Amino acid sequence: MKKTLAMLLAVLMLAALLAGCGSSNSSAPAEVSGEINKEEAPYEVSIQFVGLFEENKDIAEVEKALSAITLEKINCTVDIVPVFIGDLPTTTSLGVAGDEKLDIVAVGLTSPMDNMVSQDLLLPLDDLLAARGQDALKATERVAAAQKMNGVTYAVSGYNYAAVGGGFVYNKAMAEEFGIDMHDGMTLEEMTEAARICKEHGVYFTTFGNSGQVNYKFWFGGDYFGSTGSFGAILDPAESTTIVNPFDSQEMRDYWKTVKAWNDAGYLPSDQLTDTTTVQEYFSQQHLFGTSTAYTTNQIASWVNPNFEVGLVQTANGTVSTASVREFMLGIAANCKRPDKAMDLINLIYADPDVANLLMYGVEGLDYVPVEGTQNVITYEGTNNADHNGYYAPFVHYGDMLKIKIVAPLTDSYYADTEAFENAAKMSKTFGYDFDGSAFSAEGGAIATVLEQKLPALNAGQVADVDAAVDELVAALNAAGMADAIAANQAALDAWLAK
Amino acid sequence: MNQKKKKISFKQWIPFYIMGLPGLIYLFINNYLPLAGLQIAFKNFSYSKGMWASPWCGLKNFKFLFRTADAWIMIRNTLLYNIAWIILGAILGVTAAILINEVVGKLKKKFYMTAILLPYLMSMVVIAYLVYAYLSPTSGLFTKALERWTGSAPAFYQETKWWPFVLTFVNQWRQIGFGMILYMSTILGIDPSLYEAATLDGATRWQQHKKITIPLMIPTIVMLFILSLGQIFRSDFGLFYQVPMNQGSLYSVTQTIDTYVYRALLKTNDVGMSSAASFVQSVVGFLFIVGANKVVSRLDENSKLF
Amino acid sequence: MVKTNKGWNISANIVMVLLSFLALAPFVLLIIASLTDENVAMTYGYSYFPQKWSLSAYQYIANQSARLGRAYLMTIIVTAVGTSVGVMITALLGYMLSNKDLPGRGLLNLYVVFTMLFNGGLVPTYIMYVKTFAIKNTIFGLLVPNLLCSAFLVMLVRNYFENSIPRDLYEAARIDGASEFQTFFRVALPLSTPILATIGLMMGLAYWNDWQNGLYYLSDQSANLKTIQNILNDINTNIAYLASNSNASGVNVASLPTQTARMAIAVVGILPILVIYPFFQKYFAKGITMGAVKG
Repeated sequence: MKKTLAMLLAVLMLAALLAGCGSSNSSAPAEVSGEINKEEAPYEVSIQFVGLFEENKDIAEVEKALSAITLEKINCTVDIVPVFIGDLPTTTSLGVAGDEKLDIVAVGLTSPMDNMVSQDLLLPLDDLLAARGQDALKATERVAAAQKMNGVTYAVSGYNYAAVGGGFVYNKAMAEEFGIDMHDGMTLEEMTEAARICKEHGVYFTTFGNSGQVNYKFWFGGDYFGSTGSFGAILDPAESTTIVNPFDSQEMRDYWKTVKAWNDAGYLPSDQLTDTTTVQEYFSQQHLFGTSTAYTTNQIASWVNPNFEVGLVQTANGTVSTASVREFMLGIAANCKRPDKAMDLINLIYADPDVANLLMYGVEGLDYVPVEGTQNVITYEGTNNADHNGYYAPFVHYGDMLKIKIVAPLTDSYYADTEAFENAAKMSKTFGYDFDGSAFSAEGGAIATVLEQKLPALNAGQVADVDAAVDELVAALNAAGMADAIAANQAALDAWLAK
Repeated sequence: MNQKKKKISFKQWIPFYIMGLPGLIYLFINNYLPLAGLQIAFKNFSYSKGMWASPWCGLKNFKFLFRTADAWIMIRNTLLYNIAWIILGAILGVTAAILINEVVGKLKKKFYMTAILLPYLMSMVVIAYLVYAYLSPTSGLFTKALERWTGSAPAFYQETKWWPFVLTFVNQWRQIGFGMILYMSTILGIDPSLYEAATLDGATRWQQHKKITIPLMIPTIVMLFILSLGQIFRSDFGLFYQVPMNQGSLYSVTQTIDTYVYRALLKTNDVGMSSAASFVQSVVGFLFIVGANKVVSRLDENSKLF
Repeated sequence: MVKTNKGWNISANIVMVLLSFLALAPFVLLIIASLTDENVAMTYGYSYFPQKWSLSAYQYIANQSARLGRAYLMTIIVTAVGTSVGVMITALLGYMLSNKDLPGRGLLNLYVVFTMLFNGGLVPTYIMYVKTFAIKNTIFGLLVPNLLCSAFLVMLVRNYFENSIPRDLYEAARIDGASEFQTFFRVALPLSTPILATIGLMMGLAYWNDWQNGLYYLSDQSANLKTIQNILNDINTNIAYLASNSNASGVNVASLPTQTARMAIAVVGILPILVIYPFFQKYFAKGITMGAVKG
C-alpha cells in the first residue's frame, strides 16, 4: 500500500511538472502614445455585449456599420461578442485564464468591479486614458472617483449621470380604472392605500419573489457595501459617514412590518417565496399592479409594454453613489493584446454618439426608427427589434448619456430632466470610497449565506413576528462576523476621509 | 535465468498495457494534469498571473467553511443523506433488478424499463417544477388531494420535517432506473447453468435468489458501495438547491456542503475558496475510500478495489 | 433465468406497474404542463386537467426552430461520436484491469479510482484544454473534457469481466492461437453486451444531458455548436438571474420563453431518448456465455 501511494505521488508530481509548462501570462505593456497609427493593418477590437436570450441576428450588420466609422477614425474594426448575463463572470474570467482574445469587457452587472480587480482581470487604465482617452475622461469626469480602486482607474462608467433613486413602476391602465392616485414622493402609507384598492379589484399589488436583495433601498436609498449590504451600509449617505448594520435599523424593521401587513392583508401572493415566475413576467402579463424598482430618468423605457401603458413614480430621492456609477462599466481585459486600440474604441464611444447609438440600438431603419416630430427619440416598433430579435441591449449602456438617442416613451425633455435630476441628487459623502473586503472573504461568504437564508422571508412579509425574525437575523449575521467587518469598514472609511 | 523468465512473462502482458493505454492517457490528461490546480486552494488566485505565480495565502481560503455557525449542520446533512441513500439505493436497485428479470414478455419488460428510467432523464430544474406542482401550498395536486381526504394539508415548503422524506423519495425515484440497469447487467452475467442445477436440486425461486443471485452480486454491490463512499462529502447540488426551491426556512434539513459553498460564493465567484471546499471534500472521500477498501480486503481479498 | 416462475412473474409485474406509474405520472404532467395555456398555468399552477389548452409553447419552439434544430443536431452528433469512442476506451481499460495477474494492477486500479476523488477544478482544466489542446470553440470542446472515460464506468466493466466471464474462455482462445486483441474482440466483447449496453447508455445520457462543456468551451456564439442542453441551461441561468434580482431593473422579458415553453423544451429534449431507448434495449439481453462455455 505504501509503495502504491508513493508511485501515485510520483505520477502526481509528473503531472504537476507537465502542467507547469507554459502557463505564465505576462502581457507586455504596450507603449502608450497618443498618436493613432493609420499605417498598420487594422486591429479588430472585441467588445462584450450582455444580453438575455436574444438571438441578435443583426449583429453582423451592426459590426459592419461600426467598422465603417472606426476604420476611418481609429483604424480598427469591431467585433461584438454577445454574452448571456448569467454567463458573464465565467466567460470573462475563463477568457483571461485561457489567454483568449478579449479586449473591452463588461464590468458591473453580475461581475462587479471590485471582484474583477481582486482577481486581476482588468488592466489599469490611467495612462491609457491620459494618452488616448481624453473624451472618455471628460465625459466621466464627475464620476471619476468611483471608477478608481486604491487610486487606480480600472473601468469607465456607462452611467456618467449616475444619480439613482427609488421608484415604483405600475400599470397605468389599472391605476386609472381603479382610481388610484399615483404620484412622485409617495410614502409607504400611501402605497398601502393603493394596495388596498388593488385588493378590492382582485389584483395583487406586487410580489417580492424569493429574493434576498435589499428592497428597502427603493424607498429610503442608502449606500450598501459588499453584496447586498453584507459589510454594512450608510443609510443617509448624503449626511452621514457612519456605517451601520442596515438590517438592525429601526427604519428597516418598520419597512418589514409594513410589508408583513401587506402580506397579511392579502395584497401580495401567498406563494411568493416558492414562485418561480419573475415579477417582470407577472407585470407584463398584467397579473399584478406594479413593483418597486430603481428610479432614473430613463428607467421607464425598459418597462415599456406593448399591451398597456406603464407609469413610474419616484419614491426615494436620487443619490450619486459609488455603486450607481459601477452598475455598468467598460474595462480592458488583463490579457488584451492591444490596450491602445481598445482604449481608442472606448474613447470613440464617448466622443462619437453615432458609435454609441450603434452599440446601444443597432442600425437605424433596421433595428429602430426615429419617432416623427422628435429630435432624438426612437422606437423599435415595426423593425427587427420589435420582438427583440434584431439587436437588443437590455443591460448594457454605452456612451455619454446626454448625447445618445433615447427610446420612446421618453421625450426630448429627457436630456434636461437628466441633468436636473443629477443636479438635484445628493452626492454620497463617501463617493469614491469602496471597502476592500479581501481580508473578510470568509466572513463575507458566511454572511452571504445568512442573508440568502433569512432575507427572502422578511422581504416577502412571511414571518410570524418581524422583531423576533430581525433579532434572529442580526444575531446570525454577527455570529458570521458582520460586526467585525463593519468595524473594519468604518476604520478604513475614516482613514479614507482623513485623506 | 531468473531475469530472462521475468522478461518473457512481462512481454506477455504488453498487449494488455496497449489496450489500457488510451484510457490511461486520457485520464492522465483529463484528471491528473489539472491536479496542479489543487494549489489554488492555498493561494490568492489571480487570473492574469496564473496559478503558479499567484501568491500563497496559507489556509485562509478554508476559513469560510467553518466561519458559519451551521457548519456542523451541513456536514451532518451531507453525511446522513449520503449514507442513507447509498444503503437504500443498493437495496432498491437490487430488488428492482431481480424483479425486472422475473417479468415474462419482451414488450412488457421494454415498457417497464423505459418508464422507470424516465425520471433519470429529467433535469433537476424540471423536477423541481414538477415537485412544486404536487406540493405547492395553493395549487399542489398532492396538497389538494390531502386536503380533500383528511381535511387539512401541511405547508410543505415551510416545515422542515417533510424534507428528509421528500428529498429521499425524489432521489430514489430518480435513481432507481439507473440502479436497476446497473445491477441488471450483473444478473445477466450470471451463468444460467447455476440456476438449472439449483432447479434440479429442487430449490425454490426464493432460495435460488438467496443462494445464487445475491451472493454473485456481492462483488458489484461492494464495489459500488466503496466507490460511493468516495463521494460521501459531496451532494447532488440540484436536488438540494432547486427541489426545495431555495427556501431559507428549510436550510436546517436541506443545506449541504455544496449548497453552502454555492450560496457563500454566489456573488464573489472566488475560485480559491471554491477550490478549498472541493479539496476538503476530496480528502474526506479519499480517506473513506481507502479505509473501506482496507476493511473489505480483510474480509474478502477478491472484492477489494485496489 | 432459465425458467419463468408464475408467482414471481405476477408479483414482479405488480411492483413494476407501480414503479412505472410513479415514473410516468410526473412525466405526463410535464407534457400536459407544456400544453397548458400560459395564463392558466400562472394563475392556477399545473394540473392534469387544465382549464385551457394551448399550443403556444410549441409555437415558440417552432419559431426558434433554426436555433433549436441546429442544437438538436449537435446533441445527436456529440452523443453518438462521444459514446462510441468512449465505450471502446472504457471497455479496453476495464478489460486490462480485469486481469488479476497483471503486473502493477493494484497501482493501476488506484490510478483509475483516484480520478474519481480529486480533480484540479474548472480553471486549471480549462487552461490546459484551451492553451495546450486548443479545443475552444471546436466540437472537441464538447466531446473531450470529462466525459470520454469515467473511472466509475471503467470499474463497472472491470467488475463484469472479472466476475461474469469465465477465465477458461480466454485460455481456450489463446490456446487456439488468438492474439490478445483477437481474444478481446472475438471472445470478451461479444460476451459482454449487457455491460457494454449499460455503460453505453450511461455515457450516452451523460453526453445528452451535458451542458457544462458547452458553457465553458464554447464562447463564440456564431460557431453554432451549442447543444440543446446548453440552450436550456442558458435560459435557466438567465431566469435565475432575473428572479434573484427581481425588481432591480425593468427587463422586457418578451425574448424569454414562458414557463410552459420551458416545459416544452424539456419534453423536446427527452423525447428522442424515449424513441431510441427501446431499440437499444435488446443489447441488455443475455450474452452468449452459456453456449460458449458448453461449446
